[in-house]
Amino acid sequence: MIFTADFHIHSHYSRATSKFMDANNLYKWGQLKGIRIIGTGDFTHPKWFSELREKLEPAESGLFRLKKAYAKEIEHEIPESCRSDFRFMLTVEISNIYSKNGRVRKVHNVICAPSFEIASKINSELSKIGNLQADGRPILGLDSKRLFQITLDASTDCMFIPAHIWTPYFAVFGSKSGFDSLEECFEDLTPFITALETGLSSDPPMNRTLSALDDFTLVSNSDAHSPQKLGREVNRFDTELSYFSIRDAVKNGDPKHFLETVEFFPEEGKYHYDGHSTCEVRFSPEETKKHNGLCPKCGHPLTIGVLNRVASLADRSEPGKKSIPYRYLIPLPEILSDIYSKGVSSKYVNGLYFSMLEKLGNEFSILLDIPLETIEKASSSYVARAIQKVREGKVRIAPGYDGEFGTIEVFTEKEKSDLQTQKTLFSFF
Amino acid sequence: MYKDLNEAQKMAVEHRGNLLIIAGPGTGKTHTLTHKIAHTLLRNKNFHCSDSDSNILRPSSGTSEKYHFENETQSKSVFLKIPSAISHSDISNTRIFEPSILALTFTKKASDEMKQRLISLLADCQHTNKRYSDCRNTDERYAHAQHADVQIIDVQNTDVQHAYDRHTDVYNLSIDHQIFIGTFHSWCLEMLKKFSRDFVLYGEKEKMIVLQKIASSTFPNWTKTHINDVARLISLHKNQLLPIEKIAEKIPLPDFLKTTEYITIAHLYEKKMSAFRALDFDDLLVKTLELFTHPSPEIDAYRKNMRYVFIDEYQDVNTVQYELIRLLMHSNVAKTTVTDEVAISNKSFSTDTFQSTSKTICAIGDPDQSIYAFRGSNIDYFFRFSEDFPHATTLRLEENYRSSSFIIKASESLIAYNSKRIHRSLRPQFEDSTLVSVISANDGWKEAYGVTKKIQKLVGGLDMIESGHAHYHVPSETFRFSDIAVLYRTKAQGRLIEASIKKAGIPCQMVPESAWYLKKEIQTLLHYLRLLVYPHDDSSLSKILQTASARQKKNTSLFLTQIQALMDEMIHFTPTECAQKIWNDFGFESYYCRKKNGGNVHAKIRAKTLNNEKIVSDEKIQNNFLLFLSTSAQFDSMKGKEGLLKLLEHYTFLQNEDTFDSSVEAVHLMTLHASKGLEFPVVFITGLEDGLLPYSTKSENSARFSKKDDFIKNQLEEERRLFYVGITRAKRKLYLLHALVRDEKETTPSPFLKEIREELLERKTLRKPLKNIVSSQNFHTSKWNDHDQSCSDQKTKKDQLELFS
Repeated sequence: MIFTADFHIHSHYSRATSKFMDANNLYKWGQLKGIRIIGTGDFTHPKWFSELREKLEPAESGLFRLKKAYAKEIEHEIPESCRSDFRFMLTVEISNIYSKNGRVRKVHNVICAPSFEIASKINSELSKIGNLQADGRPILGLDSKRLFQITLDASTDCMFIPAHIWTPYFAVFGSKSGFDSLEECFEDLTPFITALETGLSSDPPMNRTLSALDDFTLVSNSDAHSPQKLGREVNRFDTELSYFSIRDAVKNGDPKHFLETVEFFPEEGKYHYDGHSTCEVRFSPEETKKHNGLCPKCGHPLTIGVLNRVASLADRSEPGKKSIPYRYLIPLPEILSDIYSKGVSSKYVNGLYFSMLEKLGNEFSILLDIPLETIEKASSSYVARAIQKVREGKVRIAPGYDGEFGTIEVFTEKEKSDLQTQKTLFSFF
Repeated sequence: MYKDLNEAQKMAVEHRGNLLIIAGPGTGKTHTLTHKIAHTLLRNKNFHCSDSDSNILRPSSGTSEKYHFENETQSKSVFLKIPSAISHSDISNTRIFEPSILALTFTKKASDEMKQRLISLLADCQHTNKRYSDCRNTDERYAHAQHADVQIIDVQNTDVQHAYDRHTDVYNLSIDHQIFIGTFHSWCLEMLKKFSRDFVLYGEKEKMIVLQKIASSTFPNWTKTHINDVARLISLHKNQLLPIEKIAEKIPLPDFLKTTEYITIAHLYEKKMSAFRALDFDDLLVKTLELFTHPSPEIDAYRKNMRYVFIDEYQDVNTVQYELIRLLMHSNVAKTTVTDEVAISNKSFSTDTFQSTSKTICAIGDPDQSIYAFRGSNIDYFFRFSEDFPHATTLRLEENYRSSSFIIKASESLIAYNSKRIHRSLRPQFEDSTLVSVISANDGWKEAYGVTKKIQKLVGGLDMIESGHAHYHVPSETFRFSDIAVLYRTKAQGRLIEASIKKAGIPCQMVPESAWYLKKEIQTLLHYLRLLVYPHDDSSLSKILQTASARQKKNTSLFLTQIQALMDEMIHFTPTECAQKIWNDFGFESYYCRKKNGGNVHAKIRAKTLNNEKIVSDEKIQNNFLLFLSTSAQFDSMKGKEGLLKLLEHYTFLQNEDTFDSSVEAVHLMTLHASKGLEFPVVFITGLEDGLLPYSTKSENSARFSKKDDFIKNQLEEERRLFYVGITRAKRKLYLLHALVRDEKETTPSPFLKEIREELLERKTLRKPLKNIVSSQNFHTSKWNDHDQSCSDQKTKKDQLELFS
């Protein structure tokens, strides 16, 4: 069975998250987006844990479904065309802040567990170490390796995935407080890492320039803090619908079962380029080198982005061969927002978005699978053209830097004015 | 061996004869003392051999004969000669070798550290210094030391040892059985076990139980606080060797207590204790002192054998400890009555000490760091050292290797205001121009919030956005959580800070901390669950009945039927379902939450200060329960008794574990008193307000003492020393905070703040009330003004909370 999965998200118990990140809304938005399996996030948070236990029931082995009573509450908000048999998987992200080899390290790690019992074992260990109640993504003064050990002790069936490995501040390879190798961080446990998460600002080809990562599967998750951002990046599988099949597919990295990862354009990520957001300085790695890593406006050191960091650790210029296929996309609301020059969360874009979902089905099928003619019929040639361009990767992106998202441009100004002269443009409404 | 020592330290180590070392903060006190002990230990071998004319019987590992002491169980203690080829098992059976070197500390931590350092120093010695022939024995020594540890564990079964281990720092080390390193209390325990009749040791808990029993019959309306006060007074008069009748002349009694009442209860307490043949902790010292004042031949032999005495933190000795040291050093004055304080102040022993040539005392300490007067410590003994011990030399260690120069200068300018001190100055070894920050906040909560924000900055931010800003503000250095300590005068202040820091998700460790699963509501819940599994467990039932609500107590039979019903159907429930059922059915929520809300002053204050009803303890209790569920769900694959058994086993195991995992990094929260002897790169001292630091209570302000001015002056100097201790904990950065309003009362900044030279300080103000403190969105947008210019993100500007002006 072919399906998509997003393992890394946060509930409303995490800091700076939408209040709509609850079980019901995950159920709704997962289906709108076309994700089949979604990580619950935050299972270490006692309240979220209890909410999950209350609302979910076991489905296929290691996976959970929303109980009927709760599904009914939200079902009417999901267009017929999008409805699917939706599943949850128990996951959490831990923020490890600790010192090793004389430096402060900040590493985020994602853990997936196949059952409440095993999640509870992990909670029990971590509750002795730190405060699990303050934040859905708990900050622990705990060595990443110890966390991994605790996870393995709870169950070897758990998946352990270092999160967004290239982010400057909170990642295993982060330029600010990470490591230069996985071994330095995880030592003898390194081979047991299930997979590495590329994060928004890097894509598989970038990662594959490091031969040190050849033995690891790369996964892509959204790290969403609000329902609309679910599935910004996802993984597509063709396996039996169960936790263990998914884990095996990830662990083995066999393209037969792990079909592809769907990626953000890495340039769109917040830390792709180097730069300094306050001074609005955006540099490619070469430009940074020219300026000795300092901001030409204020003289402070620039935040070194992912592209630069990858290059500095890479040991080959071309990506290695072995890899799961991947493709890029831009979330539909962002495409609509760009082509109509309206805000992503504006009523206008929202209206368009839902009407397309109603007519065509979930967002992923629109972006990836549905023939352009069908899309054109259901919306407009303008939209279809834009989706075509995204599918072909023919979009222009001003790269993100120092915490600023990259900005996308599906059509150039000229293309836009050309298209606007065509009457068909707004026939859609 | 000497390569790590500076000139002054080296001089101290090599000095022969009585020595007082004045060692300021960060001057390598333990380092020097350990070296001196090692030096003495190694030299002692030669000493023994040359000392052959002495007829004192003592163990001397280098000679062909060894002596040991007969087991206490045999009729009379005599010295026996035994062959030199003594095996370890022989030693462990007897373990009665008398030490010739005694090193006493005040805490287990200090003696542990001393032992560790000594062992590694002696091991180093083996490689680097061939001068001492016995260095080759280091491994053997180490084995002995280990062996000694095993002995301790062996005797833990006895009641005495058990009680002792539970309550304090049992530790001693014997290297070649020449040396005893331990706390005063552990040494006294050893002495009493050796030379005294059988006794039972009562810890603080047992002491309280005895007092409670007495009070319940004589003063039925006393609360626990009253009894605590009495317990403290009893300890105080024992430590000052005061007869019970004279207490009121020396120690201010709390308002509720009349002198006659105290005398009654103290006598009753003593009577009860002797009826039980029980000693409390203070008795350990007092009874050991009695051994010395009424010496037997064994005690005389013990004392004669003692050649070197080392005392750490000499400024903290109290009267009974001082007397112990004095009697150990001067055997000829043993018959002096020491219970009278006059004897102490009048006698000086500089002339008539025939033993003084063969006994040496080395005391180390810093009178500026004497902060335990409330426990009976008396700084005067430090000043009297050279009168007490003949030909004593005083050395000063003044090179400070800990703190940056501005922190040292600040501490020096402060402590100069004290009149009762021995002059010395500190020379910082690290030049740094970081100023000491003085921050004033609107109220206690804002102060706590300011600390929280600053910690987030110091560790380089906790989320992406924060990190982005922090990167430009503190580009050069980030600190670990464990590099940071927040100090305060009273525990109540600590709770507010803890709440704020925890709310921000920062890992922190409050000393002492009680783990969530030791909280009352969880413990009671576990009692219920235990009762389900073991229906005949009376202790659980009685615990449950204690906490049962009035309604349930009225109708016990219904209550028991309810439990019985649950027992019958529990086979169908998983452990967490059982717990949930009990929580709901037996009114946990209403019982604990209402009680807490009504009774707990702190909860009330916090609720007021936080302006947020939700953060009060109600929610904490609810949260603890949810945490209980989320950590217990692991046993849900088993239903009924089986699952519950597993769960109970898990928690029993958990409670016996040492919860503090030292490898986990966290911000340290502790009182100023608890910070003594520690050091941290970053230190916050909070609550620098008149009344908090210097601390004063109503009873101390009232004019009930004849020497009122003197008392207050001493008190003030003690508080200043406490602040001095706090300041000198800091290595790199020091933040001093005070709130303008605390507990709804306006405050004035601590007078001590004015005593620090202004040019060392950098003053800031924390302003604007924070309406929605817990809102996470605001966390990263607020910031410290000193970095204001560089960061003016348009988006965040609007809702930005300016904390500092």
